[in-house]
Amino acid sequence: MKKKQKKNYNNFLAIGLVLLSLMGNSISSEFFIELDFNQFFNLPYLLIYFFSFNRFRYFSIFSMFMLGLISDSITGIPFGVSSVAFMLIFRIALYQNSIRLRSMFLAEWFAFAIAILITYVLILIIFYVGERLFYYEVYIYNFLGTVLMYPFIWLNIKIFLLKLERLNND
Amino acid sequence: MQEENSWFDKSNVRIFALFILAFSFIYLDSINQKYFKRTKSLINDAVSQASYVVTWPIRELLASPGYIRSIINLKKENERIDNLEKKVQELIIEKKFIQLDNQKLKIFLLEEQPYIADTIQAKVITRTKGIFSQSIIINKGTGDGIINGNPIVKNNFLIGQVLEANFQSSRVMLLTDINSRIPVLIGEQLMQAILVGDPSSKSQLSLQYLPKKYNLKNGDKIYTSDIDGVLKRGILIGSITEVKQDETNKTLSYFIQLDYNPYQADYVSVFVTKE
Repeated sequence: MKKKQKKNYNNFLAIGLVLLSLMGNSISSEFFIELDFNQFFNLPYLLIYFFSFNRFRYFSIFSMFMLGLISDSITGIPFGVSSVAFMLIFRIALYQNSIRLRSMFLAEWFAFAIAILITYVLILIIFYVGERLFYYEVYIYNFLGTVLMYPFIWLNIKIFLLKLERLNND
Repeated sequence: MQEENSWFDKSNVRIFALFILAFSFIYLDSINQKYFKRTKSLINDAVSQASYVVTWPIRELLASPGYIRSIINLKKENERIDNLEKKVQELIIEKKFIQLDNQKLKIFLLEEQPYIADTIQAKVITRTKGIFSQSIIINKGTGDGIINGNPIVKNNFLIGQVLEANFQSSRVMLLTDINSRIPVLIGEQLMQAILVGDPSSKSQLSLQYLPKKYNLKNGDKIYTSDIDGVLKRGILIGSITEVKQDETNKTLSYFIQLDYNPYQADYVSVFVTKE
């Protein structure tokens, strides 16, 4: 008889965090506060990479596809672009994780930069082929911002997850 | 281990299929395929309504200090309204005031009549400000008579155009979006130009196709032009400020100040074309 698996509500937490990052602008502007963080760094990409690379197993390729469609619907870019981006980050992160030898943050940070760079290049190629206007400098700054923000977000989520784990154990 | 490391094997068929599906979505979207467009409209409607509902508790929770503050300020507000009422009473007594006011009102009504007749009020349900797009989603769609290209106005100032009308919601492309193109008239000379979203500019807006010998002044107002047949002529957009002449390059630098910040709009008006 199959053992009944314990429900892991952290799956919803990770997906909820990504959804919240997609809707951050909308929520903040309700209070006449303009949090333009999406212009300086890409929080959804960062969260997806973090949860995929660190093997929390919160995401699946299908959830990435669906989250991508929701993201496209919210941001207004052609349907499928975010799905491709999310699935690519997820897949690269899993691959990088499977070939890593030691657990070292610097290596993870570098791997993250590569994953994000590949994703941005692919998105810009899609935009170029689809004759959609874009200003490449914005993407360069956003890429740099996302890479620089990774250690900060990484530390915060790790602390948060540790506290959550302790709370669950108690 | 071999399987995990390889990029494509039998276990990755699902991944490959989803990538193919995503790319086919991109293709169908780019060619505006009829059935795909309808499905997309349904998904957009569902996502926009769901995102509004999902974020509702967070919004209410974050807004609670504001509610408490507003209750505290209620007494002060009451006193202020009382004072204002007294002032209004004094003014009403003066006959001259009434006559002038009536005249102004008549002129205003004559000017505003065509606008009032074909506008729809809509609530802003989602706002997006990122590197991919700058847009808002409103809760009215094709079912309410909205079509792509309809201008969106707040406090009589243009803030954007309908980019994608779904059944029950619509995406509005804001003026600062890189893909936004609005024909405009500038200043007293009514110079024609195209107002474009420009991420490289400080104001995120710039003017293209200005006449060869153009002269911009501080305070020049920017209005919509009806040259493309989509917009009405004369809707205010913003004004030109910080005009500086660079003597070395002989170029003119300027800043475009929008009259209304679109991200602060809670309700907007949509100009619809009635046949």
